[in-house]
Amino acid sequence: MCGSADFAALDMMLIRIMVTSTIALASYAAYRILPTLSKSFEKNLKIYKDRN
Amino acid sequence: MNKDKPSDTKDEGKINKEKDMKEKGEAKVEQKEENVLCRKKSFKISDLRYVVLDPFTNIFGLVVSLLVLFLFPFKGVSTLMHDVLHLPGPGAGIAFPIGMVLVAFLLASYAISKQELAPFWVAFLFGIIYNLLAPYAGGIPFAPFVNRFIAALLLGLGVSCMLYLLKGKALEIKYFLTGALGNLIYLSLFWVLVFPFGKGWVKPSAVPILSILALCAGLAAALVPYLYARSKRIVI
Repeated sequence: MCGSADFAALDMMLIRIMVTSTIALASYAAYRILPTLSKSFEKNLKIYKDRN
Repeated sequence: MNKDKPSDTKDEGKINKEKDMKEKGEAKVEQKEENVLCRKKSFKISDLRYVVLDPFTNIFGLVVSLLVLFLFPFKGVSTLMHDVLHLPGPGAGIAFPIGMVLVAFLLASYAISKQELAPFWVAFLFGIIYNLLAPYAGGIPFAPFVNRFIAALLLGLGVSCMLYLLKGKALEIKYFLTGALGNLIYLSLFWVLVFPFGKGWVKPSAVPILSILALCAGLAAALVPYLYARSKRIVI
């Protein structure tokens, strides 16, 4: 089984896993954070409009 | 008094109508519950239409196939398991990264769609798309397509059957037992159906360590779908 080691393919695999998991985590974080951010933005906008 | 009478009768009529409507509604709800219970009690092959015609399971199967194909090139997995971790083979790559990710996605499809046959359909699509595209993505198709397809199909069937058998049990038992046994089934199928065509039969001395690896990887695979199901309180 040994003797056919291809470390370039292993590097490529690890890079792909890291990139994909980073994208997945970033999109999940955006999915969780964006609604809260938009709500707080709307709230601040309303306060700003009331002041002016 | 005379004026009040018609209004009373009207009110009574309204109340009666409301009662009738409520009774009808309750009857409908009972009928629906009965239908649902009937559908849940027994396995029917016609239930397959709920997953075959569902866009979610089809898209999920496509995404899973392409993702596994993209993330785990054959040579990379083989190098990691045999040359870096020095695990015996063949089958270490199926037990840890590929089978684990596949079982995790199968359980996720069940947790999201709440259909016991969803893993079967996702595995069917995986068997077709992944195995057809593998030779063009730098794979080593040492076994015929039919064997690799049957391995994926039987994995889906096994996971679906286990989910049917464990219906009504605690979520922990359902997810972790299905994950561990599903991964072990996939590894065993590869030992019997796929590896004899290229890498040869598995050595008996390698069976225990690879089986333990497959069970542990299956338990780890079930963790995320289990947490999702618990957060959604899906009790079926």
